[in-house]
Amino acid sequence: MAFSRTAPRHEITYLRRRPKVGEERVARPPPRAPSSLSLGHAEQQRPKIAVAPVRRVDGRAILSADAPTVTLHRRQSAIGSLVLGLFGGGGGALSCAWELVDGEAGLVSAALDVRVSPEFGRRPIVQLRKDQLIIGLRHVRRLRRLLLLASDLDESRPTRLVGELHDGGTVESPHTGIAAVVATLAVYQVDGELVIRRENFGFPSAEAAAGAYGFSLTWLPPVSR
Amino acid sequence: MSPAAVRLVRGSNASLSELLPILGTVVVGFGWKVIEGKGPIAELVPSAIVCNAAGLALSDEHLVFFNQLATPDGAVEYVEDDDEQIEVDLAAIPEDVDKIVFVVYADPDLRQPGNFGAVRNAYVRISDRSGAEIVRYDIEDSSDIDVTAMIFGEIYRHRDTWKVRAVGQGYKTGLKGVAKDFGVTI
Repeated sequence: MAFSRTAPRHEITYLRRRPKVGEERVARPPPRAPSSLSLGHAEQQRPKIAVAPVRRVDGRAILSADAPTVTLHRRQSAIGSLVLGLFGGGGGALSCAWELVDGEAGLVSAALDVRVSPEFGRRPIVQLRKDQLIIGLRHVRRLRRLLLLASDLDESRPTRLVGELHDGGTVESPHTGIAAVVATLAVYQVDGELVIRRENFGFPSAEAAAGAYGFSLTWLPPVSR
Repeated sequence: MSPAAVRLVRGSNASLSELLPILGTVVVGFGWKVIEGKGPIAELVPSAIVCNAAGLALSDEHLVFFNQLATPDGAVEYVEDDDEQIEVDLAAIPEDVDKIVFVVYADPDLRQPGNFGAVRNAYVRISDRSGAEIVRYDIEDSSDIDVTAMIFGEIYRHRDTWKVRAVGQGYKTGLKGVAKDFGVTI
């Protein structure tokens, strides 16, 4: 086919946009500006964002896929200990990835034989004692976040992860063995309040779970003498 | 201790309105020594409870401590510093406040000790903003293994003036007992 210098080249996009010779440009009006600068007008244009009410622990709070989050108030978040344990027929073992506000992070795990974390008042801020995981709340403001992990859970019979507060209130989350290690709860310290969220994601190991959540495990436990 | 400071004993009081030329912000400082053993040490936490005429906290938010840093009106404020201090702006205290009670509790961590057994030389003092000590109360017997919380002292209204009283009252029921007495949900 002979090459024509005048035939339109529709396959070239930028040429398609070029107006043809003699074609009249049609000016398009700019988008309509708001007729008023009032905040009320802007409010009408802005899509509504639904803000869920903060759920608190008053007695017993059970977390589920539909209601995954609860927030401890400032006194619950900072007095005594938060004690976590596994209950029910599904067995399992608890471990925990932790991160402080200064960026230090580590893993408390019986399988790794690491049961302690940095100490304040000669108490590890996160400690595995027998089957219980103890979080020292006196220094809660040094804590940035936690990831509670459960391993060796039964695949069918649910195990309840229960966290007990100093006032007797509990936070509960049922889990089954969907994988070798289940990330059960994520805990974040937000301006002095602990926000607890049910996760329920499976991982091949505690280290893999911590890595997936972005924990950089830098802390080494002290060498025992 | 500043030589000019008024020294209180348990039960005694002094008039802040008379001791201060201008009734503004005072700094309530707390101190103690904890004898360290091999295990966990007692962690004492200073706090203030802002009360009405019935002797009850105005609300749960009127317990001021390291994780609830100020009352909603900002008149009583925990100072985040190496020293354990709470600032009280006497000129800004609302009319419905009758007294501010200063409580020190041993944090009830599951891993003991949560008591005053190893506590020595506890005191509370009131200074003006320049740091000059105005009133001091050295608690007579702060060391007690059965005591888990203690009211060190209180600032209270007396007619149109503010006074301070040395209390030194130990609690065997810990912060929970204190909170119950003052109507605070902890």
